[in-house]
Amino acid sequence: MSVIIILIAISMLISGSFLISFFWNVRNGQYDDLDSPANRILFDQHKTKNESK
Amino acid sequence: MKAGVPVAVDCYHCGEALAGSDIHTEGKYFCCQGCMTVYHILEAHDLCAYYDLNQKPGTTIQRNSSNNRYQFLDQKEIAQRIIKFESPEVCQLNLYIPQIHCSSCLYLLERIGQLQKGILESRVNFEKKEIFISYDPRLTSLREVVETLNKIGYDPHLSLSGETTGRGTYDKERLIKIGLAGFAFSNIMVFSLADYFAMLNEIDPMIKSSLQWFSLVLSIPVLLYAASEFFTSSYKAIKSGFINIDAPIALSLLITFGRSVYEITGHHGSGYLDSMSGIVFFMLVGRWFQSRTIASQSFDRDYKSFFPMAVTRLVEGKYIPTEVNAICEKDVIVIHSQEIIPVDAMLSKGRAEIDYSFVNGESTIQHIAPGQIIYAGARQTGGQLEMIVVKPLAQSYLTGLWNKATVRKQKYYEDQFYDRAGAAFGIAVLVIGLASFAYWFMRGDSQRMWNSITTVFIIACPCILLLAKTYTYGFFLSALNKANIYLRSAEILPLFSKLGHIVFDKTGTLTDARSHHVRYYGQKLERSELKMIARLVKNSTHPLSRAIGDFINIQDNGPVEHFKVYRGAGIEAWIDEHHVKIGSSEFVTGTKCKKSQTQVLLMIDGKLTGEFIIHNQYRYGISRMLKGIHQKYNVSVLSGDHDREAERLSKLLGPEAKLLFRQDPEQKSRYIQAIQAEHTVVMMIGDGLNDSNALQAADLGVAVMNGNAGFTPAADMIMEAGMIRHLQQIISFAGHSSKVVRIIFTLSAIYNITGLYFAVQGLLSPVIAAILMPLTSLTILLLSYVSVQWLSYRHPFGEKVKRPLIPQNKMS
Repeated sequence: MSVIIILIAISMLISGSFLISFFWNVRNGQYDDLDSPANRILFDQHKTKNESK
Repeated sequence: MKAGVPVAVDCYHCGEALAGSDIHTEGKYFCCQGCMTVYHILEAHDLCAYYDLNQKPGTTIQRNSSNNRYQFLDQKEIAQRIIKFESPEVCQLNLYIPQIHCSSCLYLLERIGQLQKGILESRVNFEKKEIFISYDPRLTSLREVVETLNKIGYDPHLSLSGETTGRGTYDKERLIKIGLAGFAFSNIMVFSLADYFAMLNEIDPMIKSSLQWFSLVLSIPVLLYAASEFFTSSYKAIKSGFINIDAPIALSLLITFGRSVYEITGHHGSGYLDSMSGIVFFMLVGRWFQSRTIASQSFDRDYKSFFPMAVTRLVEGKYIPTEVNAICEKDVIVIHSQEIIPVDAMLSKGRAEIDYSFVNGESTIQHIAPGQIIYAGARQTGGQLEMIVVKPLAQSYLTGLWNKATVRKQKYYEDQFYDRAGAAFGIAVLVIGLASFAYWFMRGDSQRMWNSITTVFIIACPCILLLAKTYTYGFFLSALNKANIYLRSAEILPLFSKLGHIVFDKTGTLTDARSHHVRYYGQKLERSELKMIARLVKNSTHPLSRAIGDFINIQDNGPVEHFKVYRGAGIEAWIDEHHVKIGSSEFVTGTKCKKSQTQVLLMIDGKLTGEFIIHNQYRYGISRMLKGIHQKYNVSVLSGDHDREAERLSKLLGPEAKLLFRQDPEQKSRYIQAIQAEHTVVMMIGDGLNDSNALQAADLGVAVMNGNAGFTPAADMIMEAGMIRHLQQIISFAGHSSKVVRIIFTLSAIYNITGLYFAVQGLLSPVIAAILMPLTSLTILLLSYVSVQWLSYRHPFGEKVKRPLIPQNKMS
């Protein structure tokens, strides 16, 4: 049964690394602008469509 | 629409109504030359995906700006203020562009390098409406970059204060705290679940205690870091001699934490760390939610943000762009067409056709003779002017006007009640907890003694009371934001239910300065004569010509000969061998007219045929709105304009409404103070700088905005002009806010008292208390959300908004 303690400790480490990456994301400005990247990704498609016309 | 104009009724570029214009290319129609020019530029550079991404994404090109409008950007000192990073190879800067509103804007602005060589990179921050540009100073210049933006209808906002950035920033620190608290809360919750279910099946004591230790480790950063603002804020409050709502929260956090540490280290139990971190998490989310719904960024704009950064100064025959701040008395400045005059100055050369609408609300263009003084804030609509500065910026009339209003009155907000109630409640809980502790101690029942004191603090967490207010107001604000109505802060909401008197400004608020109501008096006109007039006015872009053209509503493309425009006077031409002359009384008949109405005289072949009387058009739905409002509130209309519309207005408003004309800004604010002296809560609705005093003086100053890039004076509330017709619904909706908060507050108080009743008896186990606490909070939040949704359904003011005035803060 005591293996569960080790498992919990490992899961804490993993989820803790996600938490730290979240901190890093916030400080790095990834949440500054939620709209532009979502739109940006669509543009090239439009362009190629235009060119193929 | 008219015959001849095909199905398209909106401009292909900007979506404005075509209003009879037939500027077109390749089957695409445009409202003005400016819009077509932009289309041609984009087409030439293969950027037409701009129009595929969204329908009619452009901004109306309002003016053909003069070539030297951005000349000042060539000045090193000014450019340095705007450029963030500078090296011989690359310069970087951020520009605020208020027109950014859709993915097409993003598409175009990120490809601006195709329009102007030398631009290395451009990236848009949609939320902040900012563009980051880096360019090669060897290939291009700041001025060219800004001019390119201007050419395609994205005027960057350059201001005197040199501040082009810093809008829409959010609190990263708080986001991290929320992340931390959420992480700890969910993990501790899972650990505790094992413990709760173990009540049925025995749990391995070693696992149990290790889970508890994990929880303890997780909760330490929550208490020390995530919850730090509760401690610092309550410490500050206590230091300055009062107790705020954070104090009881901080106290209950400390007590739950202390009790948990005691239980875990002493193996008495498993503690209440899950509820402690849960409280911190929910409280932080609530505060974040509230601060996000308040679009505070554009409420405190001052007059400087609408002034140009620089003007052209004439020194020894040379034109030198100079910063407005550096202009001194007796300098000679040159004002180009459509520029705003930034200082009080005397006209020395040129034909001044001055639009004072920002300063006094007068919508008619004034002609000013050389030698007279023109006040700052006026816009020149005619040609180029030379002026001698009378007063520098700091002393000008407009600056004085603005500064007078800066002392803001203390307004009576309700929020102190809830803060005080929360604080009092916190103290009461403290006393009750200690008293029950003492009672059970005397009775010698140590089990009940500990149970009672902890459950009292857990279950009676006063944060529900705070949450009730925070969340409910937050829901109200976001419902209003969806309809393009923005409040300075949630604390204004209670005022809506106390409103007694509503004061409107006329020009630009009740009326729409861009559309006109035309009537014709005189001889009956034959169809052939009407055609001639239509043909004549088609050749002029003057708003009055357009208004008459719309009024006649005949499409005629016949030839016009010897067409002549007399600036600020009128137009004449030969059409089908007839001489047609149209314009001001002085121009047509040679005698000045003393009538106060806007009139345009018509003369055909030297014979005075009649006159057009032109009124400003009232906004759509205004009359119904005024009638509705009038039944509940006192209504006044203040206007800087002439009293020529008095009759029409009083018909709209009924006899009881007060109408005051020719009001200067000073009189307007004094009028509002006079109403306030009778202990009536006054709402003032206005636009423009001329109302700014009154807006500040009123308990609730509402600034009305036309379009999304306009100037708004400082106000408590900003709304789109078109929303005025829903004013009654809006007031009624917002007026319910304090009632809803009161109900929610009472309900959560009842919850608390019931909980306390059982807690003091030591009947509740801390576990049950810890489960009940978040449950009650959740039901309270749900209730408040549902009731706000229901209210906004009952008050249908929010039709779908085409573009938000202020970037919408997304909740995710």
